[in-house]
Amino acid sequence: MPFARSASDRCYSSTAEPALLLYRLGARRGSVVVDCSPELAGCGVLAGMPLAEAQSLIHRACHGFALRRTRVGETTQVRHPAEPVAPHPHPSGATAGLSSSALSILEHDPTADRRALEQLAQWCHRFSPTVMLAEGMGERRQETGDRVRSRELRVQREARVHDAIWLEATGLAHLYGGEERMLHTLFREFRAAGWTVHLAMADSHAAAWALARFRASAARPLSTPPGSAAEMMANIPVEALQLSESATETLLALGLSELGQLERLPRAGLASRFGPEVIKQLDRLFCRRVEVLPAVKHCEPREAAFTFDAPLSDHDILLHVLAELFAELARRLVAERLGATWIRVNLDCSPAAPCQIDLRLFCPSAQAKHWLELATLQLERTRLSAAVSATCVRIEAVAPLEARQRELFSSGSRSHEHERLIGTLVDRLRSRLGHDALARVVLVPEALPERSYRILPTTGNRQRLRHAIAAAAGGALARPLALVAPGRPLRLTSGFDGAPASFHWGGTWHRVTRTWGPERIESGWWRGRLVRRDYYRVETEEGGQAWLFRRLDNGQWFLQGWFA
Amino acid sequence: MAAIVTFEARRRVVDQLAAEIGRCETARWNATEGNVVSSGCDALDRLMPRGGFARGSLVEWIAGCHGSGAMILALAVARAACGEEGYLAVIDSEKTFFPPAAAALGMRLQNMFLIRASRPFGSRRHASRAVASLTDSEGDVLWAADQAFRCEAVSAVLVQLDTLTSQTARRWQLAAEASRVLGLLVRPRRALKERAWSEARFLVQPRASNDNSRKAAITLVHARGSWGGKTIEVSIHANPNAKANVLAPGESPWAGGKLIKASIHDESETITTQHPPHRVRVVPPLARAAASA
Repeated sequence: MPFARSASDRCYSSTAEPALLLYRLGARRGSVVVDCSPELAGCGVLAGMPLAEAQSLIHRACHGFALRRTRVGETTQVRHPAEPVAPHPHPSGATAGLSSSALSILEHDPTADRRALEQLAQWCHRFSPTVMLAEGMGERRQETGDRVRSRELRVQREARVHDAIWLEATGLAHLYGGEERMLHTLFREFRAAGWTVHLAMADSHAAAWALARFRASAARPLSTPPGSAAEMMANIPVEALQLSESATETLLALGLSELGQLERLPRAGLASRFGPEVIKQLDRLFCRRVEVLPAVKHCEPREAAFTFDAPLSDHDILLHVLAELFAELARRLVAERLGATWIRVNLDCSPAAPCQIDLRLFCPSAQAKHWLELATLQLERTRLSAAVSATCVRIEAVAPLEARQRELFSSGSRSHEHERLIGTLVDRLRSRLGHDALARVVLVPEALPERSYRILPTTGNRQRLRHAIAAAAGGALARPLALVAPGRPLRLTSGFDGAPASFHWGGTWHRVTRTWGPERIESGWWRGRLVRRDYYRVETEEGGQAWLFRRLDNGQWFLQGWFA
Repeated sequence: MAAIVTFEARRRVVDQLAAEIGRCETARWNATEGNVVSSGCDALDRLMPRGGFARGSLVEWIAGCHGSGAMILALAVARAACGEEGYLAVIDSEKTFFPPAAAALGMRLQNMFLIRASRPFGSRRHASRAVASLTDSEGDVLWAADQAFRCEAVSAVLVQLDTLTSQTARRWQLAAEASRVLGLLVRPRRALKERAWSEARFLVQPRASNDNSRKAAITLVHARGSWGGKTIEVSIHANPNAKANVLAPGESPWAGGKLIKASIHDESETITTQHPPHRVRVVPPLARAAASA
């Protein structure tokens, strides 16, 4: 009898962690919420909701709790203000935890999510030799395709399906002293590792997932005796069928809210009314249909370590040892036809704090010489707190190596050799200057100049970066090449029509001989605080052109940039 | 009449000598196809001794004042050098480069790297011997530019910087020559006082315009193998005929003279600097003979 374990882990850890809200940039509705912590869900935040609406709800729930937005790389974080805010006299249970901790609003990264889930699945091999994950999100998206009307709700459902891990428990229960004990052992281990999980044990994969999602709680795992899954499934809501939104709405409109009600209806009628998908899903949930899930291959940790006889402070010897460790790991990767994209070097400087060096590569590489070059560049800028007593090199992420046949005659288009050279340049620059020092740019349809583009980290993935932007009044010369963000305050005199007449910059007064404008630029209401500015392109008597703006709320003038 | 003929003959001899000296100065240049990039503006190309901007060379654009348009011109040349698939590395140490404006000028952002060496200024000196007199931040900027110049896959490097030592300029020059990267350095007016190591140095001075376009006087202050002091006047238009206000990826902002119209302004106009880039001490034969005696 197959037992499946569904460890549906929504990754909110202890309450000391900040409340988390994930959003993504929608094509039509701006930023929308993808998922959030339970305390935020208690405030009324729902997946698919516009981000501004969610922020408004949180603001209202916390009763005047001020949100401060800071941009950190690609993420946007909203934190508590430095100044104390008087707490509400009667905070609700849902928001009490929120008001005592910080709130992080981050852009959802499905790829990072999936990678973290795969790492967790690797960790789960300590409990069972067979650990399974649902298929990739891209395949799922193609499968659901046009059947789903609401894009946001589709993303929400996918996130629910794909954040589950299944553990095959057949023949393992006796090792733990029974199924109940096994479940509780797993629960304790996850808690000790900092994960809050919903655990359930059932006769099939789908039943285990449905019970973990809709019945099990984060405080207590749920186990069903063998053969009793059908009874437990009777009270599960029909959302567990993962049908299209229209089909689910139709079922609910007909008063069919639980699986037990559907199970009692004639199967032929169900299939003709709702399609064969309903029957298929019912069979999966009631253990009448065998389901095959891809197992996660257990891989040995790719790491190599070396312990020195005595603490070492000589860089040359340290680099020599690192070269040996890199060579050993590179040999193993080449045998698997893999290349490293992320290598972490740990230097044990006890009794001082350990030092960590991350090597992130533009494209997969199995060349120890290249790794050593990057490590040398980083070590040049690293100050070790004490002599190194041991070192450990661990490959954190790999990708298949790309093998290409060499071309006898170089073609006119961009050759692969150029791609390799660019990758080498990117790796060197990032190793020396930091990961944020090198970036690519993508334009976003935002009116405010400082928000009209986003900095993307440089990776080997060839992304389709959008080129066109919303047409700007005035054409190619309407925006300055040198932008001062978010604007420098100016001393300025204006004429009778409100246009700038002269301004003070660089220690001298510049007389304005010509102006273009005003061009009014406002931020969208969904962006939170409203920003309204009147922009002027001005020409000074020297002939130089500048871009100035006046804030409409207080009339203050700023320099936004130079048409350099 | 005889005096006029003598003057013309003398002028011809001087031109021949200038051409000979220019050939000597640019002897290392390999005249293969694709080595010269046309900016799309004939008058600007004619200012250069090879009829365009040579790959593997450094070109300085001196901004006459704030907002002069020197960066626009440099970016237009970089855009021409990159073509459809070439990479442009922008060294943006001040974090002021505004990519949407570059995209509006026709630059393909997917082929552009923004290098922002932004370590805080500190008193710690750089470890490398070549940049030992610089702080960490300045050293990082120069090192990043040096790395970009050495990469053969990069078509052009756009750097905006105030000071440039002879040593660094020479390193960049050698790196650019080896990898055939076109280096475009945008510098403030005070850089005119420094010795020019670049292939060409332009001074861009804005002019008042009567319409929506930009006008600028471009003066060739110095060029290897050519006379300096020539000035042209260009006007940069915002492409009024285009349907969208943003240029298509393949559309050159200089195409067909629609955006930029240039005319030879006045060749007699010269720019005097406090320290001319090439100061040659000519010793008369009589003085030479006296010295040897």
